[in-house]
Amino acid sequence: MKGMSGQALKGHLDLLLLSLVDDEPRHGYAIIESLRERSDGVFDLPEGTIYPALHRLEQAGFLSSRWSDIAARRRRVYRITASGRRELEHGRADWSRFAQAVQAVIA
Amino acid sequence: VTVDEYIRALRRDLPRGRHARRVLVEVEDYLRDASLADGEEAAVERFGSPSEVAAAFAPTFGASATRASVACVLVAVALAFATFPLLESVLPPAPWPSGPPDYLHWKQQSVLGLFLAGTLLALAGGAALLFRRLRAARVLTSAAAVALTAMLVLDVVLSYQWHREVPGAPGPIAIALYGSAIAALVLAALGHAAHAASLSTTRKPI
Repeated sequence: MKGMSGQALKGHLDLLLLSLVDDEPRHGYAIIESLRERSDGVFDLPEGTIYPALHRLEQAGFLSSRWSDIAARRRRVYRITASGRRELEHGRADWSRFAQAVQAVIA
Repeated sequence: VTVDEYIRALRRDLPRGRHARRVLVEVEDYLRDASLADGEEAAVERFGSPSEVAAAFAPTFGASATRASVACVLVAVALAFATFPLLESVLPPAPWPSGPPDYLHWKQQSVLGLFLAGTLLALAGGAALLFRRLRAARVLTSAAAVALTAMLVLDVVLSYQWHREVPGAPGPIAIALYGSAIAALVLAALGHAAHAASLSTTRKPI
């Protein structure tokens, strides 16, 4: 399937990132790989847009991060906060309503 | 373009400081990992140009600059509080039985009022930062810095006139020197706030 542009993902990237980090704490490379794998390559963003989004979510208090040694490399690992989990639940509910509404219209 | 060349180019496009160093380490980590999987050139190409990536990071640097602005103004207030008793201790007793003449009295009250306003605004700016209201934090901190600047200017004028009325009182030069550290912090706070505002109005990331 053809990859979606960054514009098409506008407004949904935060939800996707929070959801990926909610499963388990991850570093940036693992987050980008998971995004690509889980979307079967559909979400093919310029990877340089992911890190600013992670930093923005951290500054908003939805993620926290710390340096960890993984496979003999020092990496910044992101984990979701309680506030991030609440934001994720709101985002999931909003998305579900939106998707149902779109489906009802285009079906 | 190699990873090293990319990182050098990105370093040129980012503001200086601790936040930039963290960004560079994370990006380099990612590119090294991605290079192992797809080759250096492909990894760098997919990441986006250094200028685009720096523009996407700009709002996050705005938050760092806002924190620096709030910190500067809070330290300025703390310094003023800490040094005020010192200043009071070197003032000779006032010669007026019922308070200073009007032209000094209103300036004295205004200095105290501006100091109080600056302190409250600085604390409100700190609270806004705690609640992640960055724009409010910048506005409150800038207002605090303006109030403290006005206080310092008025204090220098007051000290000049006070010195003429009360021999032995610290003169305007002494007060200007005393206030120079506070003034430097206040100016730094304004500079950081302006920098934060300029970064926050640049293109936002997806």
